[in-house]
Formats: sequence, structure tokens, C-alpha cells
Amino acid sequence: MAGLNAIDLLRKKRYSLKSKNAAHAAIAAMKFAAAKSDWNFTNKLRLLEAEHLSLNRRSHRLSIKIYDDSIASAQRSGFIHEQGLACEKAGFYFKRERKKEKAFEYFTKARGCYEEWGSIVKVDFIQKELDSLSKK
Amino acid sequence: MYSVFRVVSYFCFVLVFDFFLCFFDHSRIAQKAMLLAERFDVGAQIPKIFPGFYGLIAWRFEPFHLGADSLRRGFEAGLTYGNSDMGLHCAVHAIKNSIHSGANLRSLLKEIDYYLHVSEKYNSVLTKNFILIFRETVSLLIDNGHASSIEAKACFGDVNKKENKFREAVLHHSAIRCFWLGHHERSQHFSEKCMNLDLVEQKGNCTACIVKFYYGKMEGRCSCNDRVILEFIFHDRTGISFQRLPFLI
Repeated sequence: MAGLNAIDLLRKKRYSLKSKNAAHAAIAAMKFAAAKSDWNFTNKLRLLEAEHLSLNRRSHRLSIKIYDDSIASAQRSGFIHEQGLACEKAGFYFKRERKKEKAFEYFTKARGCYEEWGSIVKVDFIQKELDSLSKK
Repeated sequence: MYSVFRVVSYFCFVLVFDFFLCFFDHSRIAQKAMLLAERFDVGAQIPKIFPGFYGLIAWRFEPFHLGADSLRRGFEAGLTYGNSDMGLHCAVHAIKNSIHSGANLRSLLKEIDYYLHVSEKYNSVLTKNFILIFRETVSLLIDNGHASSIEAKACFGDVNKKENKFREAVLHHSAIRCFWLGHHERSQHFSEKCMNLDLVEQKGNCTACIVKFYYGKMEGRCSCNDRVILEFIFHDRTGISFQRLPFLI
């Protein structure tokens, strides 16, 4: 997979081939970087892998495990924004899988991370997701 | 006195351009040279050494947080020893590292405002414009610029012009803002523009690596700005010719 952006576009079936190549290039680059600096890049690599894997709906258990790895790794490294991002992506994954409770749990974690990061924009965005899940 | 500086500068150069592919050896030697710098208390050289080491190469093997803290020290040292240009250069890298390390945005905004004040005081227009670009990103991430933005805006001219020094920063930060605000297609547009820059082939700088994570691609490239900085540090300060480098090993 390419970067997170490319995967999102891939999920929306836009720029398919271009996005696919970009995604693969991004994973390769993150593997290379994580081999040199586990601290800075392992969480990013795990998140890209989890997102890429989530495109294939058959690898459900593995996807969840890798999302959790990414969250734990971001927490270890103190990257609160990327911890929030990983929680947000995991929340959307569970939402797509129609697992409302799990989605709610991860979105709540993401909101906490974004609050700590200090991003009102992201907190509001996640709050909207939480509100829409509670209404359903 | 200048030996430590030369050693660090040399290995910064080698690592940024990844000439010899012995990454672990070179990074270890660069780290040891930094320890020497600490041991012999070459305080006056800190503002010259830190932007090269912590700003350009240390992100590959040191936590972003450590880089940000060290660059803040570089900024302080720059002002203490009367080298405000390099001190402010450290400040720009400190902001960049802080953004990547997920520092609290409100604290970061206060820090940026302080750097902005110092750059105005020292009349450093180039640094001020870079800081304003970063400030806008942080302000947008906080509250979409509603309460945290200021009137002053960066003057970066036409980003389509090749010689524009701010081109990479403007496009990269536009992509970052769009990514976090959820405008994926716009983010893609800016990152593609970023990829089309006239960049020097190499195994990646920090910006390139982050671009890959968020948006993909940008295979092994380094920014023109980083190359210029490296040339500046290596050429002018070590006395070794930039062009002769490959023959020195």
C-alpha cells in the first residue's frame, strides 16, 4: 500500500492502480525506516500494514492485532497524534465491520488522544462519529 | 577545536546522501562525534552542528523528541554565542521535529510565537516566513485557524517557480493540513506536486519519509533546501570541497 491517504482513496476505488503502487511504496519505505529507527517508525509501519490488510476483509483477526500493535507502539514512543490516528482508523474499521461497540471504544480512545494533542478540529470530528454511533 | 565539527559535518553529509550504504557504521561514528562535542564543551559550535545532525539525519536513529529538545538547545546556544542565524535555523528544525513528535499543539504554538518574535527582532525574513508556514499548520490543526490564527501570513511568492525556497515547505504543509482535516483528494494533489519538485535523488530525508507515510510514494528523495544547507555547512565550514567528496573515501 502507499500512504494512508492512498489507502483511503483505494478504499473509495479512486486512482486504483496509482494508489496501489503508492501504498506498496510507502510500506517498503516504512519497513526500511523502521529497521533503522524502531522508535520513530514502527507504529507508522504497523498502521500502514493494518490499513492495507483491512482492505481484505478476510484477515479480520490479524488486522485487529496489527491496529493494536500500532496503537501500543505509538503510545510507547509518545506519538500521541499517531496513537489517536491509529485509534481513529481502527474505529472506522470496526464501523465498516458493523461492530458498533468496538468502534465506539476506539473512537473514544481517539478522542482522548486528540484532546491530549490539543486538536479541537479532530476532537470535534471524532465526537461527530461518536454521536452518529450513539444514535444508531 | 574544529575537528569535532568537521567529523560531525562529514558524517551528516554522508548519511544524508547515503553514499556508501554503511548506515549503521556512519550513524555510530556521527553519534560518537556528537558525544565528543559534548565532552569538549564546544558550545560555540553547537548552533552550527545541531541543525545538520539533529535536523537532517538524527531522525533516522534518534527519537524525534530528543531531536526537538537538542535543537531547542541549539537555538539557545545560537543566541548566547551571537550566531542568531544558525540559532533560528535550529528553531525551524525544532518546530518540525516537534510537529512530527506529536507535541501538544497549544504549547507548540506558544513556542512558535516566541521564535517568531525572535526572528522579527533579528530581522531574519527567511526564517520568519518558514516559521509562519509552520504556525499556520499548527493553528489549523488546533481549531481550523478560528481563534489561534494571526494576521501575519508567510510571503512565499509563486510556488510554481523552481527557484522558490519555500516551495517544498508550502506544498508539504498544505498536504499535511489537508490530510488531518480529511481532504484526501486535495492532500493527494499537494503531495503529487511535492513529488514533482526538482529534488536530489537520495535515500530519503525526514520530509520525504513522512510524506510516504501519510500520502505514499516520493521515492528516495531529498529536498533542495536540505541540500543547500548541507552544502553550506560542509563547503564553507569544513574546507573540504563538496565536489571532491566521493574521492575522499
